[in-house]
Amino acid sequence: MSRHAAHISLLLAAATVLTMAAGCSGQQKPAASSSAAPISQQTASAPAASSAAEEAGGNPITFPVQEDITFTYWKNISAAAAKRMTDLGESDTYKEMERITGVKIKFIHPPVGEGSEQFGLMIAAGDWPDIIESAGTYTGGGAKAVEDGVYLDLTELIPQYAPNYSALRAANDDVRKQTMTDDGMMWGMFAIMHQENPTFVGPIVRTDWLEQLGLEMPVTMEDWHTMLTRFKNELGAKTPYVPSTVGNFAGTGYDANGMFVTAYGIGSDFYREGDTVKYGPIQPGFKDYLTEMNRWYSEGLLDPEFPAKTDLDAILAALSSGEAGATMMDPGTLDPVWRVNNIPYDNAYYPVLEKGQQTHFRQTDGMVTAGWVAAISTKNKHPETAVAWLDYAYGDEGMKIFNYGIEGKSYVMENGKPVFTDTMLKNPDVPVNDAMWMFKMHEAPMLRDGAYSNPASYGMIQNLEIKTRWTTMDNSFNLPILSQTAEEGKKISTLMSEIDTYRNEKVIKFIMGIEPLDGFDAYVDTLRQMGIEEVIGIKQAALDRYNAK
Amino acid sequence: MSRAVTQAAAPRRGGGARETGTQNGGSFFARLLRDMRMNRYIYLMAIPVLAYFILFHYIPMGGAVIAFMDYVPAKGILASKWVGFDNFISFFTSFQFGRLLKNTILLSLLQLIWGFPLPILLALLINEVHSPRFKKGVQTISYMPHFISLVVICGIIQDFTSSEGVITQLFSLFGGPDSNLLLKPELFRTIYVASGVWQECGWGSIIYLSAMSAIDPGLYEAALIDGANRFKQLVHITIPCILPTIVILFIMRMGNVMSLGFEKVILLYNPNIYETADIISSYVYRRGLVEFDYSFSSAVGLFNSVINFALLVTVNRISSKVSEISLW
Repeated sequence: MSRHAAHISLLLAAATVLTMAAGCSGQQKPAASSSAAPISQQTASAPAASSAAEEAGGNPITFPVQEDITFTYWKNISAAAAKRMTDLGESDTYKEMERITGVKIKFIHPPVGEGSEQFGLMIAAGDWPDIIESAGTYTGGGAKAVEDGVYLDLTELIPQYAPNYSALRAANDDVRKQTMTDDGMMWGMFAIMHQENPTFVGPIVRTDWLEQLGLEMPVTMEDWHTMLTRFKNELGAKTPYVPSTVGNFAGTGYDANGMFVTAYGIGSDFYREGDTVKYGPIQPGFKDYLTEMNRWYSEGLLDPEFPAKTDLDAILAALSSGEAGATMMDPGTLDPVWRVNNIPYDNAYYPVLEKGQQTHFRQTDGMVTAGWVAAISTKNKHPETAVAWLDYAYGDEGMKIFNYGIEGKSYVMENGKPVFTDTMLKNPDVPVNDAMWMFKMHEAPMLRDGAYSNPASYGMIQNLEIKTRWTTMDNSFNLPILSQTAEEGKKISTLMSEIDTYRNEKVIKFIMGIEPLDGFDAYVDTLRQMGIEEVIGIKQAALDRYNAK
Repeated sequence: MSRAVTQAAAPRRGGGARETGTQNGGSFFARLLRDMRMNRYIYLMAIPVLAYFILFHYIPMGGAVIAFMDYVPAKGILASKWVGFDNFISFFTSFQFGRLLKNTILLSLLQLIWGFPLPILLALLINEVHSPRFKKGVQTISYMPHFISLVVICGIIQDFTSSEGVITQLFSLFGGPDSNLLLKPELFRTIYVASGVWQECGWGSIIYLSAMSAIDPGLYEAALIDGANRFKQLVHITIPCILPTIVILFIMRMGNVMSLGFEKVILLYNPNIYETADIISSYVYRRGLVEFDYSFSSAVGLFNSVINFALLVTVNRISSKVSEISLW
């Protein structure tokens, strides 16, 4: 099978070299081995290829296809979608895609919440679907999957059969770098945005409580402390601050998105300062952060049961019942508890130590979304069609089908911009969080409009404004998507599984005061013994390679 | 279709008959074949069981070789690279190895100490009940928790032990802590073992009850004539009669000491109680299953099995010396 695939890609490689030679005849030397073609040439050839393709109808593959093609497609299904349909083929988006392209899709959905485990089993079973989404889940990464003969190398196919995708890559250097490995290999097609998606998780405070107490929106850590204390003492809030489960517990202890950590001049996990990679939890600033959190905890400003409270419903209950008045959350999640109860709220910014300072790290959803990436497996008999089919979602028409749905049904065009209809926003039978799977497809490899195409953003237009305001905060400490070799990836996961365990354990004990903060230096030493410097070194090398791409 | 099957089957049957016809005498296979011919239906009935064990227990054992490889599922066992004892070394030198081993053994032994004798006690008590309706009622109620899904059980435990939970409130009346019990490392083992006993005690008593029902009533009658009261009957007849069952079950339990499942632990623990709650299997779950390091997981599994096997053999040998009851 894989030999067969190799033949195809060889043929295609030859074809690409020919088109390139034809397209830029006399301009440059044609690349001898096109898989190692320099980047500049690839980007230069992309518009050329697409213009050449336009004469033949935009793409060597034209839709609807004449053959009878059915692709099996591995895709995670959200709980909301699973409630409404047996598979995503019932959604308007994929029905429309089938109508336009003539390609039939047979979805394979792992049970909700078991995506990554089932992914491993699917790979081990050997009967790989034609198109595999969440393809980055592969142990060792996508490049390893190509090496293992599971995914096809798309480096040659994309420039030829994905003109929309290639044009997007050519238009932005960060997108170009993040959609390929350090060797310039492309193993999948990532969801891409025209600009960074607005920050969707950040600090939110009840404004009626602020007014009641005559307080301003908090700016410094001390402001926060004052505010939470007064919430507790004067308004009877039992646990004035609760964070959402998103990023709360899974990785970094209490503060994965760095809402309070950043005040101390550091990032929450791995981050960059200039071109140097650093690890937040071993910085001296982290000790100050822990000291402050310990103070808050001992004063009852944080939920005393936070390590065991991993259930979003319990957190939302605390917010709706008036036990808590401040949170770190996606404002869309607050919709059903605060907006429907007419509780007014607004955003704060990540706090700083002194007025006038600024933070450098924030929750970031970059132009390339690493989670939504589709690879083509070596079992696929029509890889060219598959690439062209995926590429459709990056074109003008296709992106509207994915982001907004069907014109006239879920959206209408106003002043040249798509606007959701009431079918999407105020449907009495379908809440927006379900509608975003039935009438459009919110998560897929596509040209994303992100928060702007999220119907939940429009439930309260303020939510989108909040997200846009958060996005103005500096994020120069955030790392781009780095690619690692399989060996580096394995080394990191082996070391980090132990480091994470130890760090999470200690961070919680420091915050809860079970261990005194005098133990911080010993904790840092232990992390060093466990090999954190080695991981930082690997990340540093990856960043250096990224910068050199 | 069916004709093709009969045609295909026919020569084989003929061949078999010829073979048995030519072989006569006392060799093992000849005797086996003769026995097969005589009791063919009984052998036929055994085929599914044999096939099950061969397919699902013996063949997969060969898969344990991936413990010595850098196994890549896409490549399969034949093409993956051999790495010798690397996976084992990685496990033994892992930072928390000592703690994991200690937690696993302690939790398992505690479970054995409490979870093993209590079903026997329950069975003895149920056996002494005369009213059949009361007996049935007690049995049904005590089996019931066994059938509740572990996820539900753990949800109940989490609810009851949260700061406002029933159990927490109850204990705080007697001076216990008033905060979430699952955040206290010193309480984890108690919660784990106690809930386990509650869930499995009734179910575990069934096998002893069935052993008791096999005791010859004549023994009790004779004892009654000799003037033995109920307690004496229990000590001198019931217990000695079910002792072989108890010993065999104990030996088998010893062969499972290391294989403590991860499900209940990962449903209950949080980083604050890792120091008592993190066991080998939950660690492997975090590292192996979540990150798909199959080779590493098999290396740990193999290590557990070796220890389990050694314990089983040792306990069995001791038992056969001391009580003359043993598995083989």
